[in-house]
Amino acid sequence: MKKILVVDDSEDIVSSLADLLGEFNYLVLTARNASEGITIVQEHHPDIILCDILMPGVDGYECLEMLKNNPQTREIPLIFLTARAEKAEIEKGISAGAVKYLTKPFDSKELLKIIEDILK
Amino acid sequence: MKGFPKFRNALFLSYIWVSLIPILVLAIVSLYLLAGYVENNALEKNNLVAELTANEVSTFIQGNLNSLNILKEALNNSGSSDQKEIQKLLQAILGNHGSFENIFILNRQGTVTNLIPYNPLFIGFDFSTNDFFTQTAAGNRTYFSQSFIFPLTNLPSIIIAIPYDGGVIAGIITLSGLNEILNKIRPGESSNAAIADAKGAFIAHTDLQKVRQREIEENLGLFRQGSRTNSGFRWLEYDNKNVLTSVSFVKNLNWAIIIYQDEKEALAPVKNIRSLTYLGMAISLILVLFFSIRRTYNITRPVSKLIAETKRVSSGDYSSKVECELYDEFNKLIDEFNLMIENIQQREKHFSSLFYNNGTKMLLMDNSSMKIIDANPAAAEFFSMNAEEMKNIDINRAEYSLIFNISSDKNDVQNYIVQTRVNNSDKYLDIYAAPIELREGSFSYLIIHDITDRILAEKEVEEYKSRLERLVEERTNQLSVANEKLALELENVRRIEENLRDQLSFFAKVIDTVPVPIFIRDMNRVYVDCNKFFEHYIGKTRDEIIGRSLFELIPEPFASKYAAMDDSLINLRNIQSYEYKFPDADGRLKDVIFNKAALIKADGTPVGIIGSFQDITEHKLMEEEIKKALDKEKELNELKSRFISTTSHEFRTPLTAILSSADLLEMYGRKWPEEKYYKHTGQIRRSVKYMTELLDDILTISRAESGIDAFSPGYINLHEVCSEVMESVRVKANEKHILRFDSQLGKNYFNLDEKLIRQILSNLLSNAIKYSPDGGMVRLSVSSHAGRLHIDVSDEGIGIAEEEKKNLMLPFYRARNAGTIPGTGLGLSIVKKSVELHGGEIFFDSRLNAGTTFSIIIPLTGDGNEENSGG
Repeated sequence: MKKILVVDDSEDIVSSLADLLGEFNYLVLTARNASEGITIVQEHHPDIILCDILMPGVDGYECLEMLKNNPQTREIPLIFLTARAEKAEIEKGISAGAVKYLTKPFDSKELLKIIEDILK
Repeated sequence: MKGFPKFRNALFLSYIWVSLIPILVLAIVSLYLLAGYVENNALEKNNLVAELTANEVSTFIQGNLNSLNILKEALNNSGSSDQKEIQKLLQAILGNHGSFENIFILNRQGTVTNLIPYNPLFIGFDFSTNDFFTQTAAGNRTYFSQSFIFPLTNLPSIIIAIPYDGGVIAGIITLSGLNEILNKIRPGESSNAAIADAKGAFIAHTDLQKVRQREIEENLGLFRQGSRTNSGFRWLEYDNKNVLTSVSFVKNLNWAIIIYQDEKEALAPVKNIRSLTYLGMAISLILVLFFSIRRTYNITRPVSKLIAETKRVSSGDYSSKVECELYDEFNKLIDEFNLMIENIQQREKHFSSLFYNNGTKMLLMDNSSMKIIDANPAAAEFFSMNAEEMKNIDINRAEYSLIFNISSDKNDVQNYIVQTRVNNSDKYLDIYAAPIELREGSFSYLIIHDITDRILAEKEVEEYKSRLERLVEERTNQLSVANEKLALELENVRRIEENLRDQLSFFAKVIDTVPVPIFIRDMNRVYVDCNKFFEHYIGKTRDEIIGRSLFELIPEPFASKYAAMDDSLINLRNIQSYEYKFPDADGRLKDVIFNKAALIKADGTPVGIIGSFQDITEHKLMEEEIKKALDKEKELNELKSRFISTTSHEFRTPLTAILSSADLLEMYGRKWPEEKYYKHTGQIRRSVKYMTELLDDILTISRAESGIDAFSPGYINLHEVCSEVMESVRVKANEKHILRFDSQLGKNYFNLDEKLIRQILSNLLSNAIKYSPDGGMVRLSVSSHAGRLHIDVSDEGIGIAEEEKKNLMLPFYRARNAGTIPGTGLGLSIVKKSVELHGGEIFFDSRLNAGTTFSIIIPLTGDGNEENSGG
C-alpha cells in the first residue's frame, strides 16, 4: 500500500484529502504544519508528499529545502497544493524542486491522476 | 627586376653545361663503340663456328664416301666374282664407319647382288627405277640423295651412291652423327645449332624434336644470299626471341649449318658495360651538381651581400660595412662600397645636423599621404608640439592647409606668404617649399620663417602714418566748424537735460508701481535706490534704506550670501537668477527667486548691482502638498494590490474545502455512512459561512476605506450596546471563559456610530476569547473622562510577540502564534478603521503567553455629547 503524506494547516482540506485518498487505497498520513510533516517523513518515508505553501511557522518552500538537503528524503516527490496562483509563484515552486504545483481549488480527479502518474 | 635572368642561375647552368657535355659525349660514344665491337665479335665467333661445323659435316660425309670408294676399288680390282670376299669387305667397312645403316651393291641392271647387313631377301631386289641408281649409272658420278627418314631407324638419312665397274654401290647413312657434331660445337648455353638440307628440312638440330617432325627452315633463301657476304644474320626472331644468327653451307650437299645465339646472352657484356657507364654518369652528375652549387654560391655570395647592404643603405641605415671575400675583384668592390657608405654616412650626418640643429623651422611632408614625416625641433617648438605630434597633424585643417598650401602643384619650387593662426595667435609666415622626388615617393621640403613681427611692425607704421595724415586734415576742418557748432550744441544740451529729467521721474514712478521689490546697491554694498515694494518688504522707509549697507539692513547669514552672489555677478558682468531665503519685515523666512544684473559703465567699470525678487513661498507649500498627496496615493495603490492578492488567497482555501467535499460527495456520497456524509456537507457549510464572514469583513473595510456612508453617528446608550455585544459573545464562547464587564458610563448617551462601536467591541472580545485558554478571564472596561471615551479589552491569552506588534493592524496579518486558530486577519484592521473614523486612537500592551490589553480612546465631540438623559 502506497503511503501519501498530506501537509496543510487547513483541517478541512487535510480531512477531505484523507477521505479521497483513503477511497483509493492509499495509506494517508497527515500533518498540520511543516515541522510535523518532516518528522513524519523521516519516520514513515511516504511515497509522495502533498504540501501547502503558506503555513504558520516553517512554510512549504523551507520544508521542501529541508527534505532536499537530506539524502534520505531527497528523492521523495513533493506536490505543492497552494492558494498562491500567481505565475511567478508557480515558477518558483517548480524551480525549488517540486514535481508539480497545483493551485487551490483543485479538481480531485486531476490530483488523483497526477498521483497515479508519479507513482508509476 | 623582372625580365632579366639571374646571374647566379646563369653561372650555375654554365657549370653544368661545361662539365656535363663531355661526360655525356664520352659515355655515348664509348657505349656505341663497345656495343658494336661486342656484337661483331659475337657474330664472328658464330660465323667461325658455323664454318667449322660445315667442314666437320663435309669431313663426316667425305669419310663415308671414302669408305665407299675403298669398296669400289676393291670391287673393280677383284672383278666382283667372290661374293664371300665382298661380304668380308663390307663387314670391315661397316665396322669402321658406324654411320652406314645399309650398303647395297647393285649390278648394272639395278638388282642387288650383295648387301650388308646381309639379308637374303634383298638379293636380287630391283632398284633400277630408283633415282640413286638411274642418276648414278647414267652420269657415272657420285650421287647424294635428299635426306629422308629411314623407316627402320626412324632417323634422318641419305643415300650416297657411286658407280663401279660392275654397277652401282649405294650406302644408306644415318645422319644422327651430325647431332653429335652440333652438340660438340654449340657456342653458348642458350644457343641452338641446326643443319638443314638443300630444301630446308632440318636433318640435325640441338632440339631433336624439330628433326623428328621434319620442320623446315623458312629463311633458307635469305641465308643463301647472306652466306655469300659472310656477314651473318644479326637479328632474327627465333622461338619468339631475338637471336644472333650465323650460317655456313656444306660443299656439294648444299646443306645449311645454322647457329642461333640468344641476343641477350651474346650481348651480355654490352649490358654490363652499359650499367657501369650509367653508374659512372650518375656519380659524375652528382659531383658536377655539388661542385656547381658550391662554386656558384661562393662566387655570388659577395654580390648578394652587397645587394642586401645596399638595400639597407637605401632604406636609410648607414651603419653598413661588408667584410672581405675570397676573390680579389669582389674585395676591391667591397672596399669601394664600404668607402662609399662611409661617405654617405658623413653626408647624412652633415645634412641631419643641418636639418635638426637648424634654428629655421623645417618640415618634410609626404605628398601622397599628406602627412608630415619629419620636423626639426625649431618647427616642433613653433607649433608647440613634439615631433610625434607633428607627424599626426591633420594638414586639411584650415590653419594648416594654408601653411602647406595643399591645393597647389607640389612639383614646383614655391615661395609664399600666408596669414594663419598658430597656437591661437595670428601669424604671418614666409614659406619656401621645394619638391623632393625619392624612390619611396614624392615629398616636399618646407622652410618656414615667422615674419609676424616684421609684418605687424610694417602695418603699424603704415597705420600710424595714415592716422597722422587724417588727424591733421580733421583738425583743420574741425577748427572751422567748431565755432558754429558750439552755439547749437549749447541749445541742444539744454533741451536734452529737460527731457532726461522728465524721463527719470517717469521711470521712478513706473518702478514704484511695479508690485515687485526692486533695489540698487553700489560697489560698497550700500543701497542707493529702491522702490516702494522693497520698502514694504523690508519694513523700512526709503530714507531709512538709502545710504545704509547691506549688512546693516539684512541679518546674517543672508547678508553674507547676498554679498557673495553680488561679487560673482560683478566678476562675470552678467545677469543672475537664484532661489534663496529672504527674512521679511516680520522676521518670517520667505522663499524667493532673486533676479540681479550688474551695472556697468560705458567704459566697462562696474558701479553696482540692480536686483529684484519674487516671493514663491506659496508655490513651495503647494508643491509639497502635491508631493504628499502623490505619496499617499502610491501607498494606497500598493495597499490595494496587496489586499487583492491576499484576499484571493483567503478565498481559495475555503473554496478548496468546498470543492473537495463536493467532489467526494459526488463520487462516494451515496455509499458512505451518514456520519461521513454529514461531515462533508458540514464542511461545505462551514466554509461558506467563513467566506461570508470574510466577505462581510472585506465590505466593512472597503466601506471604511472609501468613506462613503462610513460614519453616521447618533446618540446611543453605550452601556446598553456593550451589554448586548457581551451577551452575544458569551453565547458564541460556550461559556468556557470568564467574562467581566466594568462600566462607569451609567445611562449616558454618546454621539457615536453604533454599528462601528459594535464592530469594535465584538471583534476585540471575540479575539480575546479565541486566543485565550479555556477558563481565562476576558474583561471589558468602559469609562469617559475629560471629554474622552476609554474602552479597554484585556485577556489572559497567548499574547503578541514583540516583532509582530508593528504589523498587527494590517489587513490579513495574523501572528505566527495564532497557529490553527481560525480567523481572517481582518478583525483588527476593521477595529482600527472604526476607531479612526471616530477620530480616536487604539493602543495595545501585550506579553507573550501572559495576555493582551487593547485600549481605545475616542474624543467626545458635538454639543452635549456626554448627555445625561434623565438617568
